Amino acid sequence: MTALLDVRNLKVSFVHGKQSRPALDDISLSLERGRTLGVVGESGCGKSLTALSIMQLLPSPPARIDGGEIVLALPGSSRDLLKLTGKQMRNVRGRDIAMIFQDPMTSLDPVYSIGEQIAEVLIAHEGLSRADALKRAVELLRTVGISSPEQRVRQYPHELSGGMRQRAMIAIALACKPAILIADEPTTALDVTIQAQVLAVMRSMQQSLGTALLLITHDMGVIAEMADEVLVMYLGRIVERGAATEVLEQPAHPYTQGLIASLPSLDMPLGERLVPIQGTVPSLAAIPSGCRFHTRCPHVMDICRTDDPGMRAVTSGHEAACWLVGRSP
Amino acid sequence: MRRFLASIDTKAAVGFGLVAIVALCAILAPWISPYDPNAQDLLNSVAPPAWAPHGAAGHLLGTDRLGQDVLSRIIYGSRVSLLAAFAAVIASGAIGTFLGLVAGYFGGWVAAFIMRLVDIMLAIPFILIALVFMTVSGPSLTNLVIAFALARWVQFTRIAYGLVLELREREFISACITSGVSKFDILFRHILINIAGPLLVVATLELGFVILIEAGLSFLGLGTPPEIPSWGGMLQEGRALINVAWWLTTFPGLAIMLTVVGFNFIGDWMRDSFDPRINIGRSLSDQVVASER
Amino acid sequence: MTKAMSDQALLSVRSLRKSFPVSRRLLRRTSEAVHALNGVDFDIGAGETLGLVGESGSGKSTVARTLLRLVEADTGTALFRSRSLAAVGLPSEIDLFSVGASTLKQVRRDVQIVFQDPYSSLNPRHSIAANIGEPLRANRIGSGTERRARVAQLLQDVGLRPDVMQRYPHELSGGQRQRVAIARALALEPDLIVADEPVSALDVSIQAQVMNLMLDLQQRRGLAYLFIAHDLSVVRYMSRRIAVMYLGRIVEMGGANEVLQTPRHPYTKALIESVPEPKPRLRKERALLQGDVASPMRIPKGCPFHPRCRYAQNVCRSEPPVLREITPGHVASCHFAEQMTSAPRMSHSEAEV
Repeated sequence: MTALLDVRNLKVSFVHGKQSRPALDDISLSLERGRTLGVVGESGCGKSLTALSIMQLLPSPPARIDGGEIVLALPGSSRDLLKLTGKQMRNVRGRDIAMIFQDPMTSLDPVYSIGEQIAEVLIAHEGLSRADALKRAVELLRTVGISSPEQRVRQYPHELSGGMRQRAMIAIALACKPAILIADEPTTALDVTIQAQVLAVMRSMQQSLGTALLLITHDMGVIAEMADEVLVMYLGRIVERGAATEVLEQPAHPYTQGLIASLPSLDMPLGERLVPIQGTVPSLAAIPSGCRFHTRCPHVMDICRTDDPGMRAVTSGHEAACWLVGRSP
Repeated sequence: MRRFLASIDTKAAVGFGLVAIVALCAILAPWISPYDPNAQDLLNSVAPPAWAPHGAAGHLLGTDRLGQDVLSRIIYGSRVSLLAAFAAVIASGAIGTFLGLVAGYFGGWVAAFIMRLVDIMLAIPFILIALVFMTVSGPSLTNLVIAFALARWVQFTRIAYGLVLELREREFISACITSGVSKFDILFRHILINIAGPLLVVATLELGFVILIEAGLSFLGLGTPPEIPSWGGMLQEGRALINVAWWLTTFPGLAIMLTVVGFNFIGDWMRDSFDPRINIGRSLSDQVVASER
Repeated sequence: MTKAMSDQALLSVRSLRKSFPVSRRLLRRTSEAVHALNGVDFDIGAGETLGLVGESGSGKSTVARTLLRLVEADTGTALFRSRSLAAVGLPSEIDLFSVGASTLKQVRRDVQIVFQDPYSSLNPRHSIAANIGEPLRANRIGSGTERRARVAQLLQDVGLRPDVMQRYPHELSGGQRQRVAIARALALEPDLIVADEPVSALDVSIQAQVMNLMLDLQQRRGLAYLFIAHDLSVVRYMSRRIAVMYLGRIVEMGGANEVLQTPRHPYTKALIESVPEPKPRLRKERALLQGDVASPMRIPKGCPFHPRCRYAQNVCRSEPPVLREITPGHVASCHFAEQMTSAPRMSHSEAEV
């Protein structure tokens, strides 16, 4: 299956005057039709930056793209998004690639009804008349599971609950049936029962439209529910990638192992202690030499301090950036 | 602190420079002033600056009607301006901040009363209040400071009130309450220090404003008495001769303008420094992490 | 002191109610209100942790605030055994909600709070030492040097280096700040710490560190916790007993393991089923909860959960259920609690009602 979106060797840094800090280093990923790629990591790892880079929504300055390609391959055209003009990119956003964010209260415009916000996308990209666009908006609200959509379509964001607002965001994002949907922590701000509903909506929309989903989250459980493949990021690099089931059940990189071991679960024996990862994430101003994770790694060896392992194969389709991977026992 | 110093840009540096010059003039006036500001030299009256045609040697900025050296009077005039400015701002700032703290923290009818008072005072243009007050109680620096204290406190209260309302809900204030910190300490040890930043911005802008008002009142004859050199007074005296002796109004006017501009630049820099959203001085790593949230 | 406390209980809350009026419209007869708490009862024993779990609108944060008297309860009692009062010879079983100001100041030493947001729970303009030492200063405990020594010790107790004392909050990470907040809560040597979502704002790896720290401190100091969170797995890790709240009421309470293995209330069951678990092979069958969380301004009649409950019957719509004991130590407020069967996380066997 060919990739719809192919990010190759993306490098992004933050600059201020003379100084610069590498924020994303050599990020490569690909999205395929109908599949979900999860990106998981903690604050500062660069997962949101990756999403913003794809959408060309980076605040620049201070962000600066130093290299790489982002190839959008739709039937009939294949373009490097980094080379598009502002106007061309605006055409891509909303129509070919859509994005939803974490906080639906601030990502919806408070002075327009949700119907109008959905219609705006339809009018801009599909040239619908306002009346037609509003009719489609009602249908879209119905598909995302909002009850009484004929009334809701005229309501304003503050009149809706968090879960409904997020569904409205999904409706806006999927209005033009984009090939790709990027979701940045879409359920983090929601109650867990509502989160379950919203994830279900996303999954069913994905199945019916065949959208490729790039799902960014810090929650391993959400990854397990939704993702086919997963990338684990740390300090601006990808440290592990593979099929979600495999990475979660047999994590190869000590960071992934540490993350999973830090999670309390409902099944764990009472009285058993979690084993947190030692230390804290280093600042981007002081990235460790060699393997970036060596300062916190329980299995650190001498070579880890000096040499940077590249991605090494664990099994076919599963790789991790660790010297321990591929060593004979 | 280091972050603050790193964030001083050209504009702020200019502001600091200007204010520093004025401050030095005020402090060192007796030593740097070429003449006694009240020394009359009637033979040399209304003399152009030394470097202008027909200029009087030894008078860098010329002389006035009574032969008094303009430069010396400007240097000494800085004392009046700065004294008036700081006294007025300290007085109005103290009153205004206190009332804002009380209104913001206690709410209820106290707040309602204070804020209605603010509304009333804001409705009346300050220059009118100042004029009336100075006319009634007589022109003097003290009365100017009193007029300021009575009317301009509202600028501080307005800002302080809003800031306290927001701060009051922050969890560290709740933590103070649950730790047994007294209300007095909460207001003056915890809240005040957190609202000081924006209030200092208001204060620097008010400093400029006082100087303008003082100059205006002196110009109208309602400011300082004529023996004490003041920039506004010099404007007043030079007005009649403005066609023949441009230097009598230009230089005091410049002094006023540059001082006010200096304070305003400093105020702008302070405001930007205190705004956490603007990235001045913030380390890059912080910015990267902040972009992830 | 009308009711005697049970021998074990450190804190005994009964009939706690709190409503927040919303501004009244001119022409309306009655004003609207947010009914945050509608009759909450629970006990916490010395040295034990009661986990309080619920979603937004459940009222769990309001419980914390009323206990600390940051907000005044409308009715109810909170009988508390205060060591500080006993130490000065005053009667030590008091009602937290009704004590006067000077007694409250004494009692405050025994009950402290840790908040959710490490970014706003410290005074940004005070040093770490000043932040932690403030409770000592406010209660006139020790001299300046003694306080400094105490602060250094507290920092070590929470796993930070004492030289952090002269730093400022913005120089520390979220996890470090939360440790400082815990150190501050420990300064007065309380018996009970109310922790309101203390790890929700932290990264996953830091959450585990701070949770372990709290467990260690509990073991070393015999602290009791009221541990409030919305994350069921976190609450289970920290607590021996759990109480589930919905719309201002406790709908189920009992031993952590028992409540989670054999939930007796449909809401608890739904919460358990909604938690995404990072073990993909156990992708659960589950029926998702319909509808949105009801608003505490318009609490449904009868059982407050009935509009979202897949087992709702007529009686649920008219009669509010009472919190009653189903098995020893395990209470739930559902008309059909006895028929709730176990194991919601494998393929379901629904209650036949």
